[in-house]
Amino acid sequence: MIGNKPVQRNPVLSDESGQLSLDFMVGLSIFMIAFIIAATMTSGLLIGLESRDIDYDAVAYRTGVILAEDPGEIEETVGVYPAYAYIAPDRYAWDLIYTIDYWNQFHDSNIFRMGLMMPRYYYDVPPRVLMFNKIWGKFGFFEPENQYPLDYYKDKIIFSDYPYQFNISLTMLDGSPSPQPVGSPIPDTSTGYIRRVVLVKNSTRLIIKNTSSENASGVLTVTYNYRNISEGDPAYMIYPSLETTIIALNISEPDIFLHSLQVCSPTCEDPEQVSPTIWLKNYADPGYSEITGLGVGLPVNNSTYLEVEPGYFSRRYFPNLGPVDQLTIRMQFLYSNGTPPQNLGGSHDYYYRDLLPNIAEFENPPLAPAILEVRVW
Amino acid sequence: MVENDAILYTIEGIAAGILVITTAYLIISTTTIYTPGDTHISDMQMEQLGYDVLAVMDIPRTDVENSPLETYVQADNTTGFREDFLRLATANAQNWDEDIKFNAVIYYRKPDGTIDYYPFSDSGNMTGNLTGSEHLVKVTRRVFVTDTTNISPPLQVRNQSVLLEVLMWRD
Repeated sequence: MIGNKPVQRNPVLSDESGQLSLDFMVGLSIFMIAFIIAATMTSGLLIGLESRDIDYDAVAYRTGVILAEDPGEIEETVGVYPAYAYIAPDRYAWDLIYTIDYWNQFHDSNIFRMGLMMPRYYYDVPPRVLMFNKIWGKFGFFEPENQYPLDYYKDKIIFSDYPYQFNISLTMLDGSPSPQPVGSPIPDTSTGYIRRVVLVKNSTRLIIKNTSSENASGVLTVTYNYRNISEGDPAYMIYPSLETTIIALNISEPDIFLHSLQVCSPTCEDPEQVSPTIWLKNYADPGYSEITGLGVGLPVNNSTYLEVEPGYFSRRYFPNLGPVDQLTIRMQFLYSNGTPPQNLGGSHDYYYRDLLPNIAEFENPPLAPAILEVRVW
Repeated sequence: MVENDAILYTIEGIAAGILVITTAYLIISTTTIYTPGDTHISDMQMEQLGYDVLAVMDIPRTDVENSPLETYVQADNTTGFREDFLRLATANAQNWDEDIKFNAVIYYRKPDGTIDYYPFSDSGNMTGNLTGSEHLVKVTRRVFVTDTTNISPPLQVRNQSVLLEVLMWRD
């Protein structure tokens, strides 16, 4: 008997309306949600790979090393052998380029790095000892009259094509005045930073205590004997060609004038009319300073002192005229009426120990601690 | 009427979803990313500072005396060392208050050749105030000792070089 055939039910196409089955949709949507969550997680892979802040610290550290542990470097000669000329005492004295002839022309192209450290001519000189003249000198790093524009510093100590801004400060810890910071004002944002602890080597000084000497006729001499001077401990040595030397004249007799000052090796010459030269200054009157080679009588009293700029000795006597064993500064004093004072004068040595303690005293100041901070942003 | 036919598809979908999410999580969580919270730069700055301070303390101020560090070690002057170290380590141009603490020990060689140490100095007020999780930086310096009469653990009576080890941290 033929009856009703049961209808074959197709599991997918349950009816012919063309729609997908419900469980297929549920499975597909669960898969899509899971896929979207996984894809969202991968976008977090690239967070934090921009590293400019780390770069600021690295540049600040490098600049700190150049300032605190590098004496700097220049090309100290111009021209070709044998007709080359020295523009500075040696290859580390970027602060002493001879200003009269060579500064305007060569300073930018010949200075490679400006570092503040004392050059380690002898390895006994410890690192982190900075030279006073490189900090405070006429062309020193912190010169307040800003001999150097800010871009100059970037070429000589920062070394980067990226336009970093910087601020460098030196804080003296022994109570002496600190120089003004160099660079842009410190911003409120975070900056790259490094702090170095250093020592500063100050200028030496000879204090003449007793200027009376029989039959000296007003002639006072101070001798720099280079052989004797080079016997000192290198970290505390006198470097007449690289550092300022100061001679304090304690002339208590009234009405005395400095008539002439010459430097003899042994042939004598007058000091220059322009810097670098030998200055006459006064402790009681900090604004007073006169160049000794002016040819007029300069008044002296018991707080007058001579300041020999470092570039003067090196320019005049090293190395264009060859090495000399000693230099003598010869001063002639007169009364205002032109007659020489009979019992004023004497000869002294610019040397470490007080050879005659009541007559002259040598002052070698201790190394002064300081903090050097470099900020870059 | 509820059918039982398509339940396996749904379970498959859930299982696939769980598998994909778990795999993605495992992959992503093994990537390390350097964020500014990382301490290697501040550690380097602190280590350079500590090394500078010890080096500057070990340079004689004039040519006729020992360095301050040698003087402190030979005289066992813990307060002098503490003041000098903290002054050099915390001074700055802006006069910010830097809270640096330290603990210094000295290692020396005993007559039988072994190495021993004695505590030298610290920044004060240590007992009971350390949490044990301070983030430390270690700096060392060798100090040349010629006169051992004032040092309390019995060092040998000879010229010798001892190792000063300073642990520093910011509080």
